[in-house]
Amino acid sequence: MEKELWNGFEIEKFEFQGREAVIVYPEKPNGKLLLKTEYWHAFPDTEVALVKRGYYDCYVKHNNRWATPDEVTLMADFVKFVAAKLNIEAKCIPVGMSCGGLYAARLAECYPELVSCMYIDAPVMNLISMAGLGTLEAYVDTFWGELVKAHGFTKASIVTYRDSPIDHMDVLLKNNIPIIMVYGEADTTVIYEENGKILEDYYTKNGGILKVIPKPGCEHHPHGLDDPTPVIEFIDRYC
Amino acid sequence: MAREIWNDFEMETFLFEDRPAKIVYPEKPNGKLLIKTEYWNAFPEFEIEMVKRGYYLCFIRHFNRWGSPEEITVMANFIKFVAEKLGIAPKCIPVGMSCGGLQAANLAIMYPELVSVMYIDAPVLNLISQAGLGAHAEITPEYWQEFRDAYGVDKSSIVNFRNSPIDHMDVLVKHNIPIIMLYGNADTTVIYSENGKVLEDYYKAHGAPIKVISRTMGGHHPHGLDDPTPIIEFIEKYC
Repeated sequence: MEKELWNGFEIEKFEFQGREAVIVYPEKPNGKLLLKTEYWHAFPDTEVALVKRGYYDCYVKHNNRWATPDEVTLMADFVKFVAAKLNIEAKCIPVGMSCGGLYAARLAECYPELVSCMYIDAPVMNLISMAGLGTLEAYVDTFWGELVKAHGFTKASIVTYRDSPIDHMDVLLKNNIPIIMVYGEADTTVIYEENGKILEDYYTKNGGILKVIPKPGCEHHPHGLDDPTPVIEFIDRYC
Repeated sequence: MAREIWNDFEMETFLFEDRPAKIVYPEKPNGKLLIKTEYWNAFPEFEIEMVKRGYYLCFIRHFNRWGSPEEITVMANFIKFVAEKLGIAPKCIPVGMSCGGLQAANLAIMYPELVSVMYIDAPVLNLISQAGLGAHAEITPEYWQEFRDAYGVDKSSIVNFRNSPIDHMDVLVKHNIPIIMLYGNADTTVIYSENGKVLEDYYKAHGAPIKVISRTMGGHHPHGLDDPTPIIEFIEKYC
């Protein structure tokens, strides 16, 4: 294991089950663990602010970004490994953007005991939407090619697929997992009405703990908020 | 009320909740009730044979063929009405072909207490498939328009639609409703792998009672079997 700096903090880089993995160490640890679920280098401002406040941050690189069951299991193993290594409770706060939101939600649905609360941003919640069967047009060929490779979908099997996050929201609700969700109102890459909105409606209807922050005029990128205070306050409160 | 003869049996026709309805009377009633769920007079050989054996047969014409909740509620009211009129238990044996299979399954999901066993044939069980989003080649704009009118979905919300029978199969299994299902393995109107196969796999995975008969090289039509004995035996065993 070699040690270097990440945004002024100590970072440890190593291999976990053959995958690149990192742990970022706060100066004064509060015993809580963030997990960036995809796109390690993307829009890190919220994580930097949280590490300053004492949160650990970690990440493991997956073989695909579409949250296949084996990768979600590997993610769960990683969270347990990191928690044991840091000698903290085996719980994390997934930070998931786009397909990272997909991983965050699938982790919480498959291993709710490992998730205290989560921050998702323009999250992919519905693979039938990402396959382009709704109104999505951008990158559809790319996404479909990746989905076929990752999940083995065919044109016939995708219409019977029921393991998207929106198909198991009852687990999130039952385990009372608080969620803060940010999205761009002009996002044409992950269509909110076909993804995050389903979760928003379900949590709102059933009294789940949810805060939603729409960004007027914002496309898929950038993720995050200019001032991440609302995200930080939500996580501080519920983690 | 009017009295007619249907295949040599006495038939009563009347309106029920503004919809044309029928009851066919066997010569020696056995106290059991079939309901043909759509397409009255299509491939009636099986029903004729059952009426010969003492089963009542009834039918109500719905405002649409897509099994929307308000129509299923009317169907449930109709069954209760017919059973009370005949002085029998409020239970029925749905006989559903194509979209009639959709209605049969939705009835069993919404009102499991009213269904003893069912016979479905080339059933529509997945509206995302029937909207033409899978490998489906033969969806007409008229189909899509009917479906939009029945459910109020649009091109975006169809990908979030989770009220197809395949989304509530747990209810059928929980109530242990026996199913006999026929299909043509060359059907290009209702694709088996996107519809009936999902139910077959689910029932088998959960050890629930199902008998599946494939018509080799059979298209969507004709429904039924040249010799309906296997269907009759299944119904008589479980009804």
